[in-house]
Amino acid sequence: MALGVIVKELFESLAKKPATIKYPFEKVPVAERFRGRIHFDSKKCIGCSKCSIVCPAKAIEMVPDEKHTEVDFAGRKMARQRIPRCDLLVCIRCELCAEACPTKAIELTNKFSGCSGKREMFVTVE
Amino acid sequence: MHGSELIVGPQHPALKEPASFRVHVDGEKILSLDLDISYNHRGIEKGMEQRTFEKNIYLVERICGICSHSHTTNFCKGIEEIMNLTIPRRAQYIRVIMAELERIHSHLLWLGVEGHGMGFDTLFMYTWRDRETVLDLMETISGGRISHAMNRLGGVRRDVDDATAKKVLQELKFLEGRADYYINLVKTEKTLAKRMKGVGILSKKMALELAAVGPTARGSGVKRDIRKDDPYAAYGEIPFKMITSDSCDVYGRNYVRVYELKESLDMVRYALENLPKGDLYAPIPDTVKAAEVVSRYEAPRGELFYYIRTNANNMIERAHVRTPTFANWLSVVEAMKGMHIADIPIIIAAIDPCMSCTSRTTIVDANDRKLGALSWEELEAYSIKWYKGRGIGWEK
Ligand code: SF4
Ligand code: SF4
Repeated sequence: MALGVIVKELFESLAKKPATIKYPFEKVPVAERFRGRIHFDSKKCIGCSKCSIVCPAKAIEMVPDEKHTEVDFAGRKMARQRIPRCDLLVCIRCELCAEACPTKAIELTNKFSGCSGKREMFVTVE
Repeated sequence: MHGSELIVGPQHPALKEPASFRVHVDGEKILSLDLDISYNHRGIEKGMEQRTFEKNIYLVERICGICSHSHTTNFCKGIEEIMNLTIPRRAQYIRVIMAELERIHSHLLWLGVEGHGMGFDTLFMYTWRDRETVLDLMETISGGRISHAMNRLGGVRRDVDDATAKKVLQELKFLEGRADYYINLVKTEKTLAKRMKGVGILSKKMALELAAVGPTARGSGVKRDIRKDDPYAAYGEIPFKMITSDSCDVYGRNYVRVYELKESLDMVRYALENLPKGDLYAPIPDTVKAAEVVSRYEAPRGELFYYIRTNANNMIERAHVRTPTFANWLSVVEAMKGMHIADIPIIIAAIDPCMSCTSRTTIVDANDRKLGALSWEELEAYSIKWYKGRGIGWEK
């Protein structure tokens, strides 16, 4: 490379901020639409299993709702029998469940989905 | 046999995918190449038979990390053809925006890998830094850097709203400047030219005969681009030039890719500025007839080909995927002939293999039966040293 080009590049680079960030002191910025950790809204979920059926990764399993929480659906009150439980290590964050949910109880937040030394990591309705 | 055999690959799952090269050499000269790419069977085609169409989109998205959007678009395109759907124009445009951003990030990634292979690490750092901008844009639009999950049968899942479009257009300015920089670099950088010109020769006749695709074919002067030959999505409406080069060597393939950066950026800009109003997707029918379809798509590396046969149960009966790298392997065999051992990394890199991991090399000397092992890194280091010894290289 011609010397002139190198010198020009050198001064340009010196004047710029580094391209890297100071992790972990600085957080990696994520987009607003970023699909991260799944969140189930306990008030909204009626336990219909739709999310579990559409999930391409088979990440959602329906488990019994011990508390039989009373939920509202289309003006009717009912005791919820089952609740979805998602294995975060299986979830591919495709958002199909959120689209299928009739009550919009699922949201993919922009939080980090997490990691674990165990084989499974569950989230369920909160 | 005369000469000796140099075995590159196959195993090391950590890097890329496995493939094995047996290079017959006489001293430094490559006489011929045997290729074995049968090391990475993932059973995806079989898996497709057991899933619904919608779930299959997420399976094919994972065939390749770099062309994830290419795979889903091509799959959806095939099924949509069977369903006889008309896709809304807005969705077509959004598909093109994602496809071209993907091409830009893929070409930048490749330019960096190639630079690294030649010992030009500054180029590697520059391109990968710029690639981050493209990935961020894709994340802004789709919510995922690599698995965009943008497509659905009948259209796209997510919209590009005005605020997003504005942000993308702003960042495009920076990328356009960088594309000019890389074009200038390829045109003027003498050492790059010395490493690439006359290396990995693939004549136009051979490129046609061996059915090379994508930038590999276009770098040998073959006018072959699915976006022009069989326009899909919005490619019929968006103006762009097909870039070809008559230099028929690694330089030609490089030339095509850097100029394509510019074309793709122009296409994204055009698509964003002329984004039609309308729906994001068309409603899909509940049942699909038994039919078969062939779907083609111009992925960053060349023609991506899907064969899909559906049955009356709304499932896939047989699917076949031919990725561009697969189509280009034969041209590598041809391009290797008569080259030096030191050129192996760059010739393989020049088809931009979504390749299989060649991180280990075993040298078998046929005459005294000595065995030795080289890693891919060592082979690269050898190649850089070999050229430095001849005065071609960048100082560290
Ligand atoms: S985001 Fe996708 S993979 Fe994850 S739970 Fe929902 S449907 Fe399943
Ligand atoms: S989260 Fe939604 S789709 Fe899943 S069980 Fe609850 S209500 Fe049904």
